Amino acid sequence: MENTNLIISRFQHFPFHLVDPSPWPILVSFSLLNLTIGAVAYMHGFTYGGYILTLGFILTTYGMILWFRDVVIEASYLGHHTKEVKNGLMMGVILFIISEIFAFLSVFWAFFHSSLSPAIEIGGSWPPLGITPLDPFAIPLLNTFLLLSSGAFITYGHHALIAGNRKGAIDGVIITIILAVIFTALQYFEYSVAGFTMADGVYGSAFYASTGLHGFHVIIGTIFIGVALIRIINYQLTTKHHNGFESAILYWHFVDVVWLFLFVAVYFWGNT
Amino acid sequence: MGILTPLYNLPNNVLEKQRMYQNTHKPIMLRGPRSNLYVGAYTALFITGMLGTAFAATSLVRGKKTE
Repeated sequence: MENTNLIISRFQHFPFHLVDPSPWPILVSFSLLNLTIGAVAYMHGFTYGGYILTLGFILTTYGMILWFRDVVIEASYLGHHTKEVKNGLMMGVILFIISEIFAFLSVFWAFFHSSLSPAIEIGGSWPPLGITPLDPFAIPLLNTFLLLSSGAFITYGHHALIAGNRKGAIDGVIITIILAVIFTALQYFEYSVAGFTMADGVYGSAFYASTGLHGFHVIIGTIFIGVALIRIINYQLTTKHHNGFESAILYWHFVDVVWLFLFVAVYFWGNT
Repeated sequence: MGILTPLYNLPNNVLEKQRMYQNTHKPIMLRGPRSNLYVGAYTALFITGMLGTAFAATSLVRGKKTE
């Protein structure tokens, strides 16, 4: 793979990125206002609430795409992502993942709060009386293998990229995405055939809040890896300079580990 | 994987793009070849969205639901 790193030190005598004025922070903030006001209007049955909510969703997503497009240009074509800038970006990603760990911790807390000493109102047992839980050794075990395999393939793709093996990098990342999509499809299938809903007491709430939050993270992670794939195909990621891809890998392994905890606690221990 | 061969052999345009993006002092969001279209479409949607937000906020304050 061709080394396309710019020599920014010829033009500036410090390693930091003084960002250009950008409209995206304020525009995306107002798009989020549109999204939240639209959501409130829709959920309370106000006129055109659904349209305003849809517009808010499109506007937020579109704004994020244009914002990230600028970041990619700064990284790959303007040479602003020096070693020091990469260090700052990676620290940001690590802090973000730590905040995610605490988000999942709160959901697990809710699950264990209700399941370790089940209230008398749900029969004093977990799973509650009347709930038929899912078999952990059917789709959930298959999904465990799928996610663990995807973790192995993304590592293969990462090492292929570092070794300058373009074909291996593209293959590894594409197989990862295929496995991730199969995982999401199987989760959707399992939700559609499950014998309980989110409204079926604390069991349904804890089950869908935890596995649903994880499923949402899998979808985001798949998009994250998809963006890295496009950037590999476009030669934007080099053997030594692929911060976005490394962030996606870190995020994917985090999602992987959360699934292992979910499988052991919610699917296996919580169902037996 | 044979089906992916065209992807492996795509031409590398990074150097041309580096020259193109560095050869202008426009705001970064307007430097690409189709940037005006993308940003223009976003601006149009944004104005519509803000009008919708103002309408929804007014409806929420007045408490006027679907008739």
